[in-house]
Amino acid sequence: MRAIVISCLVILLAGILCTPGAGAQSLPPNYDKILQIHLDYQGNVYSVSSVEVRYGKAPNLDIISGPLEGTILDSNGNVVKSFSFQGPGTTYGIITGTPGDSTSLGYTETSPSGAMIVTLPYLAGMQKFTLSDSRDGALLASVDLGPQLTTFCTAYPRDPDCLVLAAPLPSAEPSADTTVPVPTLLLSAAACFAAGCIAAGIAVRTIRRRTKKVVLIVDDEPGIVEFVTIFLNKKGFATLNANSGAACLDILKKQIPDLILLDVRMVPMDGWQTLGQIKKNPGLKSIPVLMLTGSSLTAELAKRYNICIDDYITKPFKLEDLHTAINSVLMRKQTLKETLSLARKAGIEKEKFCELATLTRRISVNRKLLNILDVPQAIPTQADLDTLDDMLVVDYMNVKTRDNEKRAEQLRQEINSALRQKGFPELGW
Amino acid sequence: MTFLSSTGKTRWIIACILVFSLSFIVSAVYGQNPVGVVVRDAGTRENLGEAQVYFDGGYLGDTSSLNETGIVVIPDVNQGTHTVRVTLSGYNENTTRFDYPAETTVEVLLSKNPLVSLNPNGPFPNAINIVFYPSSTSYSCTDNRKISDPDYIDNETRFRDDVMNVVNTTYMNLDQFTSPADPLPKDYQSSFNFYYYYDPSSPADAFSGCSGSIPAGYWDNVTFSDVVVILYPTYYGRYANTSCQPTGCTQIYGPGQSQMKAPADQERIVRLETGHALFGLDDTFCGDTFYWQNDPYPNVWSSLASCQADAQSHNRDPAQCRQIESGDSPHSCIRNFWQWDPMPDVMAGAYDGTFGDAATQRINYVLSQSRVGIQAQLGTGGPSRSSSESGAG
Repeated sequence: MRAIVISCLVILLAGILCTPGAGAQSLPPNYDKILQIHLDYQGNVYSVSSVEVRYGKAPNLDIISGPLEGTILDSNGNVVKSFSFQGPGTTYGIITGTPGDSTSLGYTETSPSGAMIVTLPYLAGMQKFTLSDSRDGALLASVDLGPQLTTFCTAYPRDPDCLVLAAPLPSAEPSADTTVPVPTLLLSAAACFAAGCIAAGIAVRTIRRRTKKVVLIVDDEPGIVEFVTIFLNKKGFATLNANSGAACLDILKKQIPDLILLDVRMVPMDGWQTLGQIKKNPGLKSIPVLMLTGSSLTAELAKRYNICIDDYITKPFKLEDLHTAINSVLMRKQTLKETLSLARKAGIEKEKFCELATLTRRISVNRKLLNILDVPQAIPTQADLDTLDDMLVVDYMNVKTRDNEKRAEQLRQEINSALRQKGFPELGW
Repeated sequence: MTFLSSTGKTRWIIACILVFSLSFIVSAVYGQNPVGVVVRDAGTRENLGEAQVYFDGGYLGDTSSLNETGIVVIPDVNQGTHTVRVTLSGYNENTTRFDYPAETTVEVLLSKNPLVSLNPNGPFPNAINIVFYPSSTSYSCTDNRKISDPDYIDNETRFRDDVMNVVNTTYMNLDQFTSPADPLPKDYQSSFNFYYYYDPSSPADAFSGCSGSIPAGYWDNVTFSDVVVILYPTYYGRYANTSCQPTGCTQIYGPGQSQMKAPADQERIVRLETGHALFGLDDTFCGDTFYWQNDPYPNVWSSLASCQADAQSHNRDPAQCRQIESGDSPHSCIRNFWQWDPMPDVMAGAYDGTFGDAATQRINYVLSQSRVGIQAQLGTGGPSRSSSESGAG
């Protein structure tokens, strides 16, 4: 008996020890990373030829000095590290005779143009590198490091530094919305093509540090605004408040939030009219909009969702559902940014990528809308479907969704093929 | 049934534990969607143990953590493209991409790393990394031409011996060539890590350009070197005229890319070029070279006033400040820069001298910059020489 028990425990222990990564490690894991900036110079004019983040160890930046000053900045423009070094092309040569001979001559070579590599250690928070001349303060080169950090973390998502970068957005896991009672949460209407493209275009230029996300709450019921504000602040969001559509548009003239939570039922300008004004403005139309309404879903409303909203939530709502919906929208936008950056590196046309992004969202939204419309108990105004118009809405959505799915699959294959050829990960959506 | 009836509850529990244990092992090792990684030596194709394996950037384990050396299993791989990064001491690290489920086994080949550490107990953390690279060429000033010199390429032992000799005569006894007025830290030798890079198929050329040239692969492989020294056995012939190629030379290509060349048999040249490449010191002879006020702790100043102010603030005699000029009269060479260190000064080039007070202060500053990291690693704190202490203008 004792032997059997011991055997079992030994096997159990063996199982634990055989788990990859478990047990004693001879060396600690090495996650040292470097950022290499390749610069071309012509006289005192510098241009960045490439930037790369990779595993490796950096030289000691503190032992050198010179008239050029390198500065690493965070997303708020604060200095993370600065160092100085001599410019490239500096040579000190000497010609001497045999040992004991005291004659010597200097020898210099000038190289007015050439290449220089600046190798930096990876530092938490690094977002930008600038090169300047300390003699006259001239800015010689400036590099946004965000896209390269994104590319690196796409290839190495489990690297501890990448996990830290990804951590600040909570509830990143996709919500199990198929199990959520209808119509508590709907991942709804399709964002318009142009809005998606512009959002993604901006994303390529810079990756913003995950500081507090700003949500603009637009509702004419002060109690709702206050209630949601307190909740979102507790969840780590910053908030802006507007009690009407007009007030919302005024705020947008001064500040761009990360997301707008927009109530439908407001007077005199209702949520749909406000949304129309937002989407007309090229500077605003990329802002994700989450519609907040007391209405239940009808075929008529399903038609209206064809304009650019990113999600839909009904009153009364559970605060956690609202939180999930907000995170879901923000996460989707972030994923789109990161993937577009890779896609462009793989030579994929932006238009093609944006078309797939738009179609994918439309398909997802339409499928969910159709599911709801097909379930009688989920439709408070069942009589709506008895009209020919409503039947046509459902038929049209079905046909259109199937067409969209075919086109999306074709685009997905083309894009994944291009990504594979470059060794990039395929689309995860 | 017989088993259950005869042993009762206890055996039933044991049976459960057994089943659980086996299923745990299987799921732990192979997971739901496992991918096997095999790590091999690129040359011999033998499996390699002790290699550290990272999956998508996260540490997975080493290849000796399972029964079969050289193999590690990634459990539960999602569909898509993934990365496997493998590191092993003595080998170049390798990152391989694979697609799952198209690929369920990944072979990672590691090639030998030509970088050899010369520190008996391994590198010191945060120390200055000096890497020696053998040249396959030398120069004959008599014939005024570059010549092939296979001494180092055919014989690693010869190269290693020359490197060790240079290390011992110029770096490890640096205290004998610096000013006692500002002594080096007693353990200054631990401020250096020494390596040599030996790949006979890709030698350096000490006489391609002033400071020589190194195959491009080096910079990708050894990203952390602070100074690379192209070493060649000897400089042939006697100095004749300026048409000869330089004996020693330093060139800066950016942070971490300081490169110098020197003949192994001329310590004074190694010392002088190290002054440039590692310590940022200026030449103090008058000639065709590069001058600038190398703050902080300069050994050359752009004005007499700066030199005197600096001397005063560091308790040196300001009267020793003098313009850089040749010794002949009238001066055939004169520069608008000033020096303080007396002759024989290593940075004056051709002398078997020492580093003067000013140069030694700069050397101490550079050592202190690296020692900040060393002391932090040791957890002892430690003195550091702030650049703001410099009195130079």
